Amino acid sequence: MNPDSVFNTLDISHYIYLSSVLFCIGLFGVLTRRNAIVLLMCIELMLNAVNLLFVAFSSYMGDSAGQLFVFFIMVVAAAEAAVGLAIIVMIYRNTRSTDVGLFDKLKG
Amino acid sequence: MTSLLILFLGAIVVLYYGINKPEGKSLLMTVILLLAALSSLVYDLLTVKNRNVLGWLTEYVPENMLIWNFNSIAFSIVLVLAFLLVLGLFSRNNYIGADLLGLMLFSVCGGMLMTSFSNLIMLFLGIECLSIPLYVLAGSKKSDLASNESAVKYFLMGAFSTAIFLMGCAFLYGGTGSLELESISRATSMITHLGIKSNLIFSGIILLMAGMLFKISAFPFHFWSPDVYDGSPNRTTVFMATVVKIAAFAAFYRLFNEGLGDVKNWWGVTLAVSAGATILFGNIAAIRQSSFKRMLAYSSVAHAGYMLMAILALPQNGFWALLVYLIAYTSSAVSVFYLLDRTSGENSNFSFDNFNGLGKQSKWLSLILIVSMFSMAGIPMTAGFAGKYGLFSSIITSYPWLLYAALIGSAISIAYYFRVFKHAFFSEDGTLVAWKIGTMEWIFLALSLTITLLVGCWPAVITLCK
Amino acid sequence: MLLTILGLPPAFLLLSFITILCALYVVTNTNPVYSVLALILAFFSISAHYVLLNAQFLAVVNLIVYAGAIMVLFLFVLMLLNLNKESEPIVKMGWHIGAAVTAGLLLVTLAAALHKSSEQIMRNPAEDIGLVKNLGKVLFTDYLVPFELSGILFLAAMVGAVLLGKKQTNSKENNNYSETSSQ
Repeated sequence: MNPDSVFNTLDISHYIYLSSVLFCIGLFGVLTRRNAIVLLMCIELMLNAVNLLFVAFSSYMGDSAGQLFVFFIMVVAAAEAAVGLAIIVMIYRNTRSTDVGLFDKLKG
Repeated sequence: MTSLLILFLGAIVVLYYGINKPEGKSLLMTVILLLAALSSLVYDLLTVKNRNVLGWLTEYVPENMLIWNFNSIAFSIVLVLAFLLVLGLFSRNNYIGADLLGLMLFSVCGGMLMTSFSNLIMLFLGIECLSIPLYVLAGSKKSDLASNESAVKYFLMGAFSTAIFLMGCAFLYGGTGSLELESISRATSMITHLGIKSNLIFSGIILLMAGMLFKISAFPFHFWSPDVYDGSPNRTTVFMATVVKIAAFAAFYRLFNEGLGDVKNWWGVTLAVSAGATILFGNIAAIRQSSFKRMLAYSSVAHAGYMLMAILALPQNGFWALLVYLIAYTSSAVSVFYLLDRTSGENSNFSFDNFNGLGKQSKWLSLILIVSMFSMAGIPMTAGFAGKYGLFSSIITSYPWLLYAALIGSAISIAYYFRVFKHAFFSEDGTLVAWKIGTMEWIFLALSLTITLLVGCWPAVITLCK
Repeated sequence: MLLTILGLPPAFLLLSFITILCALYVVTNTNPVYSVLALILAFFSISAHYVLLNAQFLAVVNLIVYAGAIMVLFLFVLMLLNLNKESEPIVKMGWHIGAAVTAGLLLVTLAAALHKSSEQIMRNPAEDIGLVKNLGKVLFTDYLVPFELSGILFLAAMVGAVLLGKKQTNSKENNNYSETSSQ
C-alpha cells in the first residue's frame, strides 16, 4: 500500500467531522429556505454528506457493503428527485409559486 | 417470498392491462392478486417451522437480505389484509384507475420489504418503495390545492426524514462494521457484555430513532401528519393510516426490538418519553378539532403513541401486543374512514355535522359506527380493548409512568370519539343523503366488523396459529 | 487546534474547504440557479474525496448521476418555471437564528459524541474494493436482490411522475381519483 495514501496520513474522524458539518449545513438550509426546489437541494446535500461518510467507513474498513449502500442511495435519490420535481411542477401549475410558506390552507 | 413476487409481477400486469382498458377489470384483478398473495403467505405461516419458506427461491434470495420468519410473515399478512379492506371499501362503483392501483401495489410491496428486511439496504429500499408511490397518491387529485399541499409536505418531510435515517445507518455501519441486522445485533450485544461505550453506535441509534419517529409521526416529529392526512384524498388517507402504519411499525419493531434490543438501556427512556408525549399530545389536540377527518388524523398520532409501547416491551410480549393492536386499529379505522368518505359525499367538507341523521338512515351502519368507535376508544368486548390491554400489560413493570400517561390519554379519547354519536343519533336536522352500498362493500364492512368483535371477545384467536 | 488542522494532508484540506464553502453558498444564496451551480461544484469536490478514498467507481457514478443527471434536472425545472431570479421572500431573522442554533447544537452534539471515535472502527483498508471489477462482482452476487428491487422502484417512480405530469384530457380523467360516482 502506498505509504502516502490518505489512510495512513489521515484519521477517519476528520471525515466524520466533515460529513457532520455538511449534514448540519443541509439541515440549516432545510429549516431556513422556503423555495421547495431549494429545499430539495438541501436534502440532496444532506444525502451527500451521508454518502461521504459511508464511503469513508467502507474504505477504512475494507468492506464493500458501505459503497454498495451509497450506490443504492444514489439510485433512490434520482427516483425521488424525479417524483419530487413532478410534484413541484404540478403545484406551480396551480399556484404559480413554489414557496412552501404559502401552503397554509390546511390548519387546525 | 412467493407473495412478494406475485404482487410485484401483478402490479406490472395491472399497469399494462390498464393501458388499453382504463376502467376495465383492474380492480377485480388486483383483489384476486391480493387473495393469491394472502393464501401464499398463510401457507408460509403454517409451514414456517417445518421447512425453509423460501423454497425454490433460496438460492437467489439470501437470508441476509430478506428473512421470512414467523414475525415477518405475520406482519405481512396483516399488511395485505389491510390493503384488501381498503381496496374493498374505497373503490366507489368499481372505478379506480389502473395507474393508481399499480402504485398502491408497489407501495404494498415496499411495505412487505419493510416487514421482512434483514439488511439495512433492504429496509431503506422498502421505505422508499413504500413512500415514492405514496407521494404521488397524496397528490393524485391534481387540481385540488389541499391535495397538492399535502403531497409537497409529505414529500419534503419524507425525504428529510430519510436523510436523517440514512445518517443513522451510516453511524451504525461505522460502529458495527456491518449492515446486516443479525451482525448488528451480535455486535451491539457484545458491546454491552464487554461494557464498552461506543459513541458511533449510540449516535447512530439516536438518529435512526429520529428518522423512524418521523415516519410514524410520533412526538416531536408529528407536525406534518395531520396536514397530510387532511389534504390527501380519502382513499390515500386511509391507506396511510393503516397499511403504511403497519409497515412502519413492523420495521420499527424488527429494527429496534429484534436488532437493537440488547442495548435497550441506551434508547428505552428516550422512546418512552416520546411515546408518552405522543399519546397526550395526540389526544388533547384531537379534542379541539371540528373536522372529523382531522380528528381522525390526530387520533392516529395518539394510536402511534400506544403502539410505541410494544417496541419498549420484551420481544415476545411486544410482538403479540403490537400484532393485536395493529389488527384492531386497522379493522376499526377502515370502517370509520369509509363512513367519513361516504357521509361527506362529493365535497371536501369533513365536519362532524356530516353524520347528522346517520342513525335514522341505516341500523347496520349505526352498528358499525358504534362498534368501530368503541374499538378505537378501547371499550371492552371490542378489539381495541384487547389491543390496549396487551400493550399496557407488556410495559407495566418497566415503565409504570408511561402507563399513567396512556390511561389519561385513553380517558380523554372517549370524549372525542363519542362526540360523533351526538351527531349521528341525537341530531334532528339530518341532511344526510342516502347512498347505495354495493355487495362488495357490505362484504368488507361485515369482515371488518367481524374482526373487531371476534378479536375483542376472544383475543386468543390471534395466537391460535402459534 | 490550528496546528493539527494545518498538519492534515493538503489535498484533503483544500477539498474540504471547497466543499464546505459551496455548501454554505447553496443554503444562503437567494438565487436558485446559483445554488444549483454551487451544489454541482460541491458534488465535484465530493467526487474528488471519493478518489482520495480509493472509491473510483463511486466517484464516476457520483459525477454522472448526481452532477450530471439530477442537477441538470433541477436546473431544467428552474428554467422551465422561470425561477432564475431572486424570487424568494425573505425569512424572518429570528427564524434564521433558531435554525442556526438547531443545526449548531446538532453539530456540537455530534462532534462531542464522536470525539475520538476512530478507535471504534476496525481498520483494514484495502486498495481495490472501490474498483468496478470488485463492486460489480459483489453487486451481482450478494446484492442482486436489492439491485432488482431498485429496478421496480424506478418503474414505480416513473409511473408516478407520468401520472402527475400528464395533461388532463377529458372530464373523466379530471376526476382521476374516482370521485365520479355517477357511472
